[in-house]
Amino acid sequence: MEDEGIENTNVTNLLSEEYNCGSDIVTAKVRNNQVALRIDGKASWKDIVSDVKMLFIVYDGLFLGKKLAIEWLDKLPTKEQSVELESLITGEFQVTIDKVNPRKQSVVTSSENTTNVWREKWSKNSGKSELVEVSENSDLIRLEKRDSHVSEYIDKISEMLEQPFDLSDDANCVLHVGTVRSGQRIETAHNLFILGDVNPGADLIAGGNIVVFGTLRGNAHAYAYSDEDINGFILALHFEPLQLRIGSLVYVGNRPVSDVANLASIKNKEIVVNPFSSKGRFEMKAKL
Amino acid sequence: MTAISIVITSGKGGVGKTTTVAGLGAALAVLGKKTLLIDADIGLRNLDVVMGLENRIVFNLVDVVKNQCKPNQAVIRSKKSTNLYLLPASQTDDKDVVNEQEMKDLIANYRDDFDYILIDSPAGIEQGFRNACSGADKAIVVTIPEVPAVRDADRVIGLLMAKDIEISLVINRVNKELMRRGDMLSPDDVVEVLGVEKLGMIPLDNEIIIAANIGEQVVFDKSSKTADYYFKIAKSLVGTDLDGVVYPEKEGVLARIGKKLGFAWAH
Repeated sequence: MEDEGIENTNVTNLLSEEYNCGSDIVTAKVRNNQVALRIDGKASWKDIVSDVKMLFIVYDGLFLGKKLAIEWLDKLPTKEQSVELESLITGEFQVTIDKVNPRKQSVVTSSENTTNVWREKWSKNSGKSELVEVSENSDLIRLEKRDSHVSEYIDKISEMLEQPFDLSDDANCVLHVGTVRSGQRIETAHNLFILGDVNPGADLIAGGNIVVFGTLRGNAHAYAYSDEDINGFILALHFEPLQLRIGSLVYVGNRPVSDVANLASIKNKEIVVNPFSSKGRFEMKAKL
Repeated sequence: MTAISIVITSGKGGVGKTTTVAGLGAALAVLGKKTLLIDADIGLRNLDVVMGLENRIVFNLVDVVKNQCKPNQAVIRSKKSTNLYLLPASQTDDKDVVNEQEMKDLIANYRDDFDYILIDSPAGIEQGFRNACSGADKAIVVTIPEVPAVRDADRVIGLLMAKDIEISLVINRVNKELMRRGDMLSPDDVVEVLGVEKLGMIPLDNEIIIAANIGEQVVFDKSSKTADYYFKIAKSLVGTDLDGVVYPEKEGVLARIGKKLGFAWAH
């Protein structure tokens, strides 16, 4: 919808609404000129494919001039399924999946390809771990390889949480190593681990829980894709966030700096923040 | 000699990039390094004013890029040192008149004639900033110990890291009094948030402000104590020790010892 004589930006502002459409299994979330196709990975493959087809048939104008990203919730597809779906979308419906850079796209789309890569290459024994590469174009963070100290940290974190962070086959967590700077953003459909600081002006968005093994001074949104009753948490060693969200609840940061780790969780439909000790004072029922 | 090119940038405007470029350039020149200062703030040029050379401008960097003059014709020598030169910006164009490749090529013209090329970046993170960074081997991020400036510096550091440029930090306008009272961020607080190596700091000093207004540098004033801060930064850059280099006479013995022992406030 481009009117000559009106600058693109103005038109976008007028139209700048967020809206959803689709089914329970396949939802298209439209924001400005981006469409995020959210797919419930737990549903049957047949249902997913048929709902995707329905969406593209019924709302075929939706994708015009917009960037499409695919996000998988709760469970990732297999490689074959992934390929099948992408060729369905790009072939039969002729919609381009936004691929400025293929790897970048995987992270945006809840890292289905990237997480698989991590599972294959992550090995606590060999001590290999992932590093962060900053992508200037979209301010998304991607992962590469680095040194071995990281596995020690992960063990420590698992110990603290009394819940081993599972990086085996059922694992669904994203690890970022390094400082997240102002203006940078990490988004994933799964749990998010940060080994480093999160500076003010940085955004963390996770479909699951968030753990910052460092100083959290920015914004963090756990269970960002859920609205219902959830039991998520955000944990940081140094807890000074600007703003936190868990699901649709918001917490405005105002705590003075404290020496101990703090955990934000939900009690009575409110976000409460409490000092956290690994002596089991808190029982975390992480849903994922 | 092949020049090392360093972009001096900050994100936030008004933190002292231009003054730092001029002061640092002057210090490098006094230390015997042939230095070219490039004003990349097209449309809002200030480096010429701060160096007292605005009435000597005939050609500027846009002229060089557009081949309207030879590279050497646009370069102006400082009044105070034969080692210090300025390539001014244009005042009548805006930032889009030059692109990143053109900037890289521009700097390539001068690499063989200088030891150091300092690029004064404009504020912001848009085309002007991107132009200033292209062709730079290293970056110095200038910030002041105030929260808005540190926030912007963090943003800029993130962008510079994506370009794989080596970054160091200069903290400007440090107010000892406010710092002691705990009313202002200390340089250590700033380094803790930004996580970047500190190259040096420059105090809040009226001398610097006065000098900038009359187009001079404190570095050339033999009685200035503030100049030492610029010299310290210059020496860190150059990485050599004092042999073979004229040591600024004004520094006393105690201060010299203090410096060697690593006391930041050795005066």
